[in-house]
Amino acid sequence: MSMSRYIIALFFIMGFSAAGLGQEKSLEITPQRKRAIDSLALEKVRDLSRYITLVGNKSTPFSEAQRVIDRAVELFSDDAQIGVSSLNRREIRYFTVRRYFDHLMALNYDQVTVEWYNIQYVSDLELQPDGRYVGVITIFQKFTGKTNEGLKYEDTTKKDITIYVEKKQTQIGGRLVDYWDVWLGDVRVAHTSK
Amino acid sequence: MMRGGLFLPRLIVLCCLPLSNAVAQDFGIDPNREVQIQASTKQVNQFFRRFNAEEAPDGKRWFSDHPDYHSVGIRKRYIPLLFDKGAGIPDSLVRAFTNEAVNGKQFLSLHGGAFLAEVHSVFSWEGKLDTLQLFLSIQEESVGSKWVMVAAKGMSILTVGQKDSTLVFLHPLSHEIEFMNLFRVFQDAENMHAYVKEDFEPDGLSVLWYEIQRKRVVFKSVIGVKFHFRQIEGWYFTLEQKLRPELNSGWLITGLQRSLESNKNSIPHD
Amino acid sequence: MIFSFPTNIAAVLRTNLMLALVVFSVAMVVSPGCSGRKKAEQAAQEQRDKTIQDALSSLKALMTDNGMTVPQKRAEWNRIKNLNLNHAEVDEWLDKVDAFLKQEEQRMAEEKLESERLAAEKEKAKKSFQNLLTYFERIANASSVDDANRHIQEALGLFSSAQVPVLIVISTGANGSKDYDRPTTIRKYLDYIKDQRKYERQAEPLKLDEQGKIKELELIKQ
Repeated sequence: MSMSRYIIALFFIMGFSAAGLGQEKSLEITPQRKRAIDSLALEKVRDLSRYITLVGNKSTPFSEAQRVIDRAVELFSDDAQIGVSSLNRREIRYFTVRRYFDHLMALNYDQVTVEWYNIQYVSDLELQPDGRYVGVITIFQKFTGKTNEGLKYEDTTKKDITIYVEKKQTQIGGRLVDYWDVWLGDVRVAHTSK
Repeated sequence: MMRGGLFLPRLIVLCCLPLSNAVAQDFGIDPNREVQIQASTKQVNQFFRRFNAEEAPDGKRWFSDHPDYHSVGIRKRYIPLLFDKGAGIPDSLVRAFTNEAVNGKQFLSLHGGAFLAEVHSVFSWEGKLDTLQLFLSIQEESVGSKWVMVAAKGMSILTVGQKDSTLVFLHPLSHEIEFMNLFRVFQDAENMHAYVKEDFEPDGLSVLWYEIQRKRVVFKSVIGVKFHFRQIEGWYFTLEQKLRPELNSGWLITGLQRSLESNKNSIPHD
Repeated sequence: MIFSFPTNIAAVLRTNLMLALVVFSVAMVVSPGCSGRKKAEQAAQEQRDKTIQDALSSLKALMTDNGMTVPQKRAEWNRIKNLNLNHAEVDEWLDKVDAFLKQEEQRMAEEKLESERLAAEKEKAKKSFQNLLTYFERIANASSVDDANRHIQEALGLFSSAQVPVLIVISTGANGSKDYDRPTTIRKYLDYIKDQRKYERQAEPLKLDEQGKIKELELIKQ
């Protein structure tokens, strides 16, 4: 069967399904709250960038770097993976968060800088079957690694970072407190053209 | 408050600004590059929002109380910018599509159905690498939604064998020997096509399911994603990501044609 | 001497007439004062009855929420007491209202003490937060990791423990409801300031324990 017929058949099989064809799923998160959550999620991504910078710098003591890696890992869900592709290789290499940071620490740069392009895009939050919300933040970063001898490496990456949002409750000082738990999930890192 | 009169100049600034050659600088962020990133359609979500006029050029979300939300004028200006200029789609077709989508008040949605993802992935099959196209669609659940696989295609294990089907077959009097010659079918796996109905195609997803259960297939990587849309009445288009340092970049329409029924053999794809 | 009838009778008649005239005159003078006294007595009684009724009404009203402050009620009670009405029902109500007012006065004194205590605590908490903010600044701007760690140890001395919860407000609704980030501990938060070189501001007054140490911290995102 030709590809075109195959695709037509697939659409037919799908039966143009989806409850509410053409209808937008209404979010239970108000625009104002969404802005606050976006802000919080972006801040966590910025925190992550800062952790990357700290770990990548040789001047950071080993014990501090280990503590920072622990804090970075806490930003993520347990099974989060970082998938990296390059300009020359379309295949994605997968790293756990800890392995990604270990790899970063092993890089031979004396100083690492991560700068953000001032454009971040935050998707709408979509409801998952488990009741959590999921979104994706896209950022562009310029990574610069320098050695004391003057060698320099630069690249620009597009990062699509999954975020999960869930309303939770905990007990503080004998009372129940509601809070928005925002944590990071899989990260797709694509090296873009310079 | 954004007005159409302010929107267009900002859009022109974004999309027509000359972009100097992106040269690695010794310090800081290249502001030209920021303009390019701003113009780029960075997510499929953003493609929907721009197509529907549900966000400003700077990415700020518009809701139904915004004066430019779903604006006809803005959509007519914005939708043509969502096409891959390098795809060779005629301007007349783009205009026709835009007018029909906008005048017909048709919008795109993640939950609108008629929307398929084609994921090119690499697997390892008994130690050998193989490439598959996995097709997925959004399935609505009682709470939320999720992507589900609907088909798999391209497995080499299912490709047509090399032998001429006039040489391998179950002869027309096989019934007289109670089909004892079926043993040949099981010894000639490469030529299964000769022993089954002419138009039979094995279901790739079922085979993949089985092989995954038996742990004979190992996922390696995704190497490409493309989307197929039929949400706009009478039209079919494909969407792909073009990562390049140009204003016309990101998730863009790479193929467009009128209803498939009249163009069965001409879907643009790689 | 024998009075002649006509002369004696005249004399007697003259004497009786004189006597009658005197009695009549006295009666004329005395008889209007008798009925006036009765009227006066009656009026006085009526006045006393009215005073008693007014006193009883007032006393009963003092036990209700009549818009008077407690000191005003006490003043009214004193006024009625000083009337010395010596009336059983009035005396009974005077006792009741006195007991009620004593309770109210006790409550007011306790509220005043509590209010003063809270004000003192608030002032103490405010000073404590100013102190804490100084540490936040020092940690965020520390010139080295060791320097930052030293300030962190000093700052932890302000808290009842390193596990003191820290709540950070991310947004506030129109009805005053708050949305929080995931709660953390002060130890982790101070490390966060060291790593990220930034900190949040105070949202609510500090909660202090009996030793004056901070036992809970609420901040607000800028």
